[in-house]
Amino acid sequence: MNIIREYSLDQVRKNRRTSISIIVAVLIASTFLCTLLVFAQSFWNQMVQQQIYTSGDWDAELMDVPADRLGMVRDNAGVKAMFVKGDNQTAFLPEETALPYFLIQNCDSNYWDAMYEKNMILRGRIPQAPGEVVVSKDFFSQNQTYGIGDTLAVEIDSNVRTHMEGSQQKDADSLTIVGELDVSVSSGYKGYLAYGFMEPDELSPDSEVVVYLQMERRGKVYTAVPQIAQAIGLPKDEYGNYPCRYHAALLAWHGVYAPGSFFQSDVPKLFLGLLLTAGASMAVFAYIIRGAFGISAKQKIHQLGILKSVGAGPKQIGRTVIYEACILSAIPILLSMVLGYLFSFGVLSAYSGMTSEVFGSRMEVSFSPAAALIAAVFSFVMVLLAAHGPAKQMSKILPIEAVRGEQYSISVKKAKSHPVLAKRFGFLGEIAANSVNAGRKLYHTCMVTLSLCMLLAFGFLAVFTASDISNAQAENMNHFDVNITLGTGERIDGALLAELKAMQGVQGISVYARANCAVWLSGSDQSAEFLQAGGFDSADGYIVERVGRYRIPCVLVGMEQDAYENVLREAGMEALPESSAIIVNSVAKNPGARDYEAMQETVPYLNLRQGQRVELTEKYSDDTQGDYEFMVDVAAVIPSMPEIGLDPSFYTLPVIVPMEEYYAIIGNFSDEMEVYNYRNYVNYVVPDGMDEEIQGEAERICSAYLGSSDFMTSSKTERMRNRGRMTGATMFVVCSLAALFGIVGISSVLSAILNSLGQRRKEFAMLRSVGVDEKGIRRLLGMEGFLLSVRPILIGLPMLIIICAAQCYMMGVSIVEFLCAFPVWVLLMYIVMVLLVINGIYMLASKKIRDDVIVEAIKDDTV
Amino acid sequence: MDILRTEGLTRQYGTGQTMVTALDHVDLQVERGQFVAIIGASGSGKSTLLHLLGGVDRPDGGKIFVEDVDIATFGEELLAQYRRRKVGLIYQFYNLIPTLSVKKNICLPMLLDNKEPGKERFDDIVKTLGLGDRLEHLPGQLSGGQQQRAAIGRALIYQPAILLADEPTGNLDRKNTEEIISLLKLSNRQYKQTILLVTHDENVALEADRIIKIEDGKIISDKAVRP
Repeated sequence: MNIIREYSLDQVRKNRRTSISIIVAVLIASTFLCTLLVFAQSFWNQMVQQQIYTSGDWDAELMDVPADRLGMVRDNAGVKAMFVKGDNQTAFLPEETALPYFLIQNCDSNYWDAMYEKNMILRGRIPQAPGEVVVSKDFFSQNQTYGIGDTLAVEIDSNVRTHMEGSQQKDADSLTIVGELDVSVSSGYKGYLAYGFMEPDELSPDSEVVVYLQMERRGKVYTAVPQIAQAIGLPKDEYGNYPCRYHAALLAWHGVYAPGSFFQSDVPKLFLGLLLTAGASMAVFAYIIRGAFGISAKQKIHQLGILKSVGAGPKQIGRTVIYEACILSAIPILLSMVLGYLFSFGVLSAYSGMTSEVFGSRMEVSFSPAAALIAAVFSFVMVLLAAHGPAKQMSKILPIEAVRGEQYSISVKKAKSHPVLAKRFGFLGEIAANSVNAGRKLYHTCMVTLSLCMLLAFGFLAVFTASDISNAQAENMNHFDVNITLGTGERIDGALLAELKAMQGVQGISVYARANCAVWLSGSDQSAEFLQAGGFDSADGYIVERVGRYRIPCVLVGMEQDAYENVLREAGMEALPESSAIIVNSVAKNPGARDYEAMQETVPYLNLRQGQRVELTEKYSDDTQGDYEFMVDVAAVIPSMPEIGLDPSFYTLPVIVPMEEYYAIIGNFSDEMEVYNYRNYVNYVVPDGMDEEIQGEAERICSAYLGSSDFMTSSKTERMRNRGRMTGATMFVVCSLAALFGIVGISSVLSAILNSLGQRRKEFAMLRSVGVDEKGIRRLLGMEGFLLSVRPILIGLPMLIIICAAQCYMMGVSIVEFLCAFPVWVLLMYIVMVLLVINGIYMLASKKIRDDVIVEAIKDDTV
Repeated sequence: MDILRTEGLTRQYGTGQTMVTALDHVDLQVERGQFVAIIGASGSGKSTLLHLLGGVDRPDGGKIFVEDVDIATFGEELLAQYRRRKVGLIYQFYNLIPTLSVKKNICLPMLLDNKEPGKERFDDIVKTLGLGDRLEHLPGQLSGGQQQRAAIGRALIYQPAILLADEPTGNLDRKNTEEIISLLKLSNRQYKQTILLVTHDENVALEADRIIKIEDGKIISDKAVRP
């Protein structure tokens, strides 16, 4: 074996104490990195599974594909799997049913396996043969004589959209109900939604279906799918695009983005955040472990000096540290894979348990071999980084200095006076203070580690506390106690809205819909007050300027007719005969102000007057596909937004129209925006303590009309409870990670104290030889322990105070409010724990010193 | 012919008011095969001179020519090679690696070069040193005299042209001192090695061909004891 390797291995074996300290530090650091990767992978997996659960496992969708071209799609080399939906049918039900039709969408077996509709089955099973259907829950609630397993005699029409005309031929058939689905369609369709089964090979050649694709090479989806569409002869639309759609959300989680959309996605930002966190953790741990390697290298500096003096080169000396790093890190890195997984499993299971009610699902812990390999590589790189510094330092040292061991011996160049300690504890107090001061470098790493541990845990706690106070303040300003969002992709059923509006016990209600749009104006359209406050030019990023025209973001708000008229009446106006709109003409005077009051101050925004005609456009950003333009007549200009629960962002101009007008306008928007903007928002003001009860009642009403994924309710109490749960769960994770830091910190403290006391055996023996008794030695070491333990607190506490102050400043929270909410007692407990642990280690480690035979220890043992 | 020459060799420690000049512009020539003793009081600079000649310390000024090459200009790698192959350094406190066997300690300079010593030469050295039955022992298992012999063996293994001994007998009793000095003289005669020996002991110094006295970092006398 190479002599340097042999020497390194021998050193690892002989210096067990230091080796164990390095192993512990590497083990915990690697466990931390492994935990981070398990967290990341579990989160990624959760997102992917959630995406698949809610919208299916597909990469791209081809619409209007003739059935006779399905073979061409299936046989395409780039296609891994194909699912088919379509061949829509209308089934005319027996006369006794409440509504006359089943609106059936047929799906093949691959579709049922891969897509999300199976997850909406409340009872029963998926259809497995033609003639079997699963039907929406409202069918069962409205026709209680029917159940799963019943077979209905029906007449089948081949097209859902044209059944009203009755022009198609009807065929007598029978359908067997095999399940109940948690979906619904608007009552305007006068039918029940149903899903059936089809064999693609049995479709008539002229029928058109929707095809979902999973690609062999997912990364090529954005280029391969248009080629497939072209190959099977699909026509392009008016924008020059083939009728295809991509599962962008799922693709993004797999790192695949449409051209130009990389920077708009949140996934790369999350990935970058993970990399930065991993990098920062690696750097911090490398710094911590570097201290342990430093101690080990310094312990054998005399021997390294001998090696150098007999001809070992700087690279060979450096390699002794690197070999030591490799030997000591192999087992802990492997072990950390198991520990990391177990730790993550424990933490994530607990986290999941705390947040499952908030998220509605539990997080599964995932850890793949690839992630294990990455964690191992990261850990190894971290160890090499940690060893690099001491290796370089050792390789540079002069042989004779190393042989004498003088460079790293603890020595005091200039003694400081410590009058308080001297007065209270005599010369022993001075010795203790000077010793701690002399060993500053040695204790540096553990001090930083313990301070970091404190900052990490309590810094996050400070962030959460300030954020919680701020959220509570924002919640208090929310006029409404219960909020409901309804979104089915089409106009919300009037009966549902009527029932929600008739809710008992409600003190106030608002119903509105909203759509983003924009208006192009010139500089002269801005008000004098706004111009004085900076005008359009000060709103860079919100307002776009193109050749002297400014694009002002607008929000088109649809209000129910009676509410709309009330607003008009309050403004002293009447509706105009043409498309009438109310403009809320105010803008924040100091949007950048930190103070809440200053931020709320507004000035008139534009020079708009009653009777003026304004042209708006659907294209509110360059990325918006539709470009529908529409006119509104300004019926009234009001200075503030009516209290409906909508708080438009800075520089956004609210344009309020009656609901019917709203629907007429968005009906002309591009398909995607039309579907999105059909959303309705219903808000309630309720008596204190009633919000959850009213929320429950609203949920019951919505469930009767809509699928559970088509509506969402929340209440103040629920939000507050969820915030508490989330804060608790996140703090649990943060404190678990901080505990890992703490263990490394304590391990490095132990190593540093043992090393320091080892180096000072002679000093203690000398003190004992001149008459200092065991009590005196204990007192001296006790003082050293105390002085050492207050350091991380003295370093960490001011930084923590800065963090807390910064948080309060940024969140606009007062110090008194913060102190009332911040758990100061936990911080005090932490401080007491640090004091106890360090002093405990000191006392245990000093036992050997007290047991030493004076004459043996006093001999020069540097030979 | 000079094997070793210094010109204005200077070494200072510390800075400002605490600065100490350990060697002050020392000029020295040593011929090949000479046995030179360097004597002086504690702190006179004799060990510093030896360490600079051995390449384990760096001068602050001046030149050190070894076989007409200035080692003061060497980089770290070249200097390490010099220490391995050109000089053998013997310390007062032996300075063996405690975790390596005696055999490996002796062979260390060659092992660092990834070489094994020739069997004949190794056996010859071991026989001369009288360590034949101690080769697999660890240094801690040997007496002081045996450890110093192992250190001499390490200095001899590469057959360096120069042997530098820094108080090699300072930690030994009379009997071991005589044995070590005999070994050095034998090495000087048998292998034609140039030896520089730093010592406090005038009796030991009298065994050399030439005695140099250093005081306050300067050579104050340089006498040939025998031709």
